[in-house]
Amino acid sequence: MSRVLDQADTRSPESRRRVDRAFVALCLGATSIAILALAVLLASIITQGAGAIDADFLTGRPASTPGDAGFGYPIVGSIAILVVCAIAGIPLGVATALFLEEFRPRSGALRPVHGVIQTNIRNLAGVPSIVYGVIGLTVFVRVFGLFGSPLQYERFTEILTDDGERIVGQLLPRELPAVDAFTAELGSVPVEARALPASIVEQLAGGETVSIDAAMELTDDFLFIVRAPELGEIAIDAFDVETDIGGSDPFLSRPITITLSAPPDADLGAEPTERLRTVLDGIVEVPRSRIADRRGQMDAVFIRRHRFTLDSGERLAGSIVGYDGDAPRLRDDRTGEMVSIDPATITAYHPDRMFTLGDEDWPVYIRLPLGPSVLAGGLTLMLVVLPIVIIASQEAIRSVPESRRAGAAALGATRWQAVWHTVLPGALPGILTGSILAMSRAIGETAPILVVGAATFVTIAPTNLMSEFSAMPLQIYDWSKRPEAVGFKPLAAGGIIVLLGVLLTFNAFAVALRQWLQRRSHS
Amino acid sequence: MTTATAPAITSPATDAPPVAIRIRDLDCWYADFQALKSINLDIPTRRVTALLGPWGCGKSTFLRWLNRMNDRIDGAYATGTIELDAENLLSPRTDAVDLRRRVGMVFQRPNPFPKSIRDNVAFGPRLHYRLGRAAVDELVEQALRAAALWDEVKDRLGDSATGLSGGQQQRLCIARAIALAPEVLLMDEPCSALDPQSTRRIEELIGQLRENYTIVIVTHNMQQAARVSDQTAFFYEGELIETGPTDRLFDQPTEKRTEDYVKGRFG
Repeated sequence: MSRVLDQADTRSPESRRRVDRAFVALCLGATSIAILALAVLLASIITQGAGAIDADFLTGRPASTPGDAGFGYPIVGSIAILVVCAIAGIPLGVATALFLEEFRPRSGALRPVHGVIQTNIRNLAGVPSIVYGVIGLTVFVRVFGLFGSPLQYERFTEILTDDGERIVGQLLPRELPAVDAFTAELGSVPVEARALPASIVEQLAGGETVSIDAAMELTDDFLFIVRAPELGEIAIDAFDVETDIGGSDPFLSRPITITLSAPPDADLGAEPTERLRTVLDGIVEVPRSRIADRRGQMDAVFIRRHRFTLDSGERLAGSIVGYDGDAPRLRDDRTGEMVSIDPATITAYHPDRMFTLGDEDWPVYIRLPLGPSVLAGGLTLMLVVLPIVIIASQEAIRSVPESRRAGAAALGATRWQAVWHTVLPGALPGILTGSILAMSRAIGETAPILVVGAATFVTIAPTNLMSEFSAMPLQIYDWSKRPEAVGFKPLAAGGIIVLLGVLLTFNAFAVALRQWLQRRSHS
Repeated sequence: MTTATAPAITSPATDAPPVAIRIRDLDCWYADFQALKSINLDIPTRRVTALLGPWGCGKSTFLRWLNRMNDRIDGAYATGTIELDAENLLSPRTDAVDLRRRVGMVFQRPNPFPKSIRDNVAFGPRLHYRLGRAAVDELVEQALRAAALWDEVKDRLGDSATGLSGGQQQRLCIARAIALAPEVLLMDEPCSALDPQSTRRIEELIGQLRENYTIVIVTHNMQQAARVSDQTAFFYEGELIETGPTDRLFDQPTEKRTEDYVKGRFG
């Protein structure tokens, strides 16, 4: 043997060391790139968002203006769905892991079932979370349509006029003042703008040329239409939060100044009004100058849907919004029109089948279908993290030495006693750490709760399981995609900082818990 | 612990003790592999029976049928009879959980639970009985005294059992097993993970326990079998080659293979 080695060429120690050093440098370089990218990202987020974080931001409610918007409700919403997710997901995940590891069927029909479940859980862990969102939408939000359609969530606005009248109703798109065709300049693109704030209309009427910042303009509550040949018509409406133009218009995602001047013959029109569809009396218009106070979109009411069959054979479905004497006033689902139904013509009346459990005043209140509620959101997140919890728990359970199970079994423990007294205590650190990490994954999920129908603009904090909710990542997403992103950008960055803080806290807690439990079990 | 009366110590030489466990025609398979072939053996009451043989001879498999621990292994099954108190342990009607209360077991490596010493000893009794604090205290003390561990741990019963030395842990496992007052105590190479000093103490303990329990001990250590057992059964390749009083089996083995093994020619 040594003769073979003597005749062979030696690898020079220097060249081996060179390769060694080169490899270390390569690894170091790869790590540095990752760390550097992360550092740059963090630094830019922190410089942008640190200023946004204050007490008002952390407790505030959503608003259509960057100055007033807060992150409080999304924080509460995220916590609420996370609590649901943890309470539902951890016991379910641990129980599944126990079945798969400790109670695996030895024979009979269940044995293939075990294999199928095990394989599927591995696969499910890799399924994109949006798929779970779709499942959640069907299973939890709609409950397969078994209990009718989800109750619609309607927003009401309360307006107090200067003569003390109180009007409650739903805000409708405003009537546009009869102002037409201001010429404006948007960069070099000629635009037309309509429906301007009264103050600007006055200035324009006085012959002035007004420069307005598009982002700032939205702080006032007016429909603002920019019509530019190159851009098509873009409506920016601070009232209508669903308006999405940021993606379609590159100009409006940065601060722009529009210079307006009124043509000499412009009709500067009527005073802008608030239009409300009141609960009882149809549509009311209130001139803005008469509004003393407005609690916009403060209260939300679920309107139950009803179905009527009339003697004419006509079927109507909608929500009852009031009564004219005995005649129910129905808002037709299809047309949106108000219909007053003569009770004498009703041949059949079917309230939507509705299953409720508990009372709306209690935190535990359940109504089927669940609708886009805290419960549905939490359960959908549970679907996302369940495979993770199961796999982490399985690993933890598997790491408990077999000798402990054998020891318990030899003392006459049943399988469950062995699990409860020896396996679970041994697996607990791993299960808890895995669960906490799964929860920190859940808190960052956006896609599934977006599909489920979480709101980006909630006006009340969740009070029970059926409450509408928003969540931190969703609010961040909403802020960063807004057309008036200039104003909301620091808020989005601030939200990211808060979310990161929560995530890091979770992970730190998981590490601390694991260490504490391990120290305790070894002492 | 129910034994209040001192058992009569009988000499093995004079009158033969009653049979505690009667094994007839025991065959055992792991799926397609036959691990035991037609085993017939009587295990005497309040004696130490050593199961001797080289690695893989089936002695541990045999031991684990005596408390049906093989039920936990996928694909393991056995035919024949193992009679304890006129009941066939292999019958599907026999409740393995209750059987293991009557037949205790000590493993190759000490396997205390990561709980306090007290909770380790009380583990078995608490599985089967509802016990008050005083009853637990009494049981724990009796079992630890019987396992010759009481004096070493009486001041730290609340400490974790994993802090004990290997030998202490194994004696704790013995205490844990006898806290249920089993009729039979199975030991699967109980000293193989221990140093000579600890081994000696366990062997002494076996000598004491012999007065109250029927003991079956698996060992591949011939000296140990000679030191602790009254009867020895020699297993080889799944067969029970020879069984008899330990002295006789070592001095005048009738089978060639037994002789080769005890003389150290293989194994």
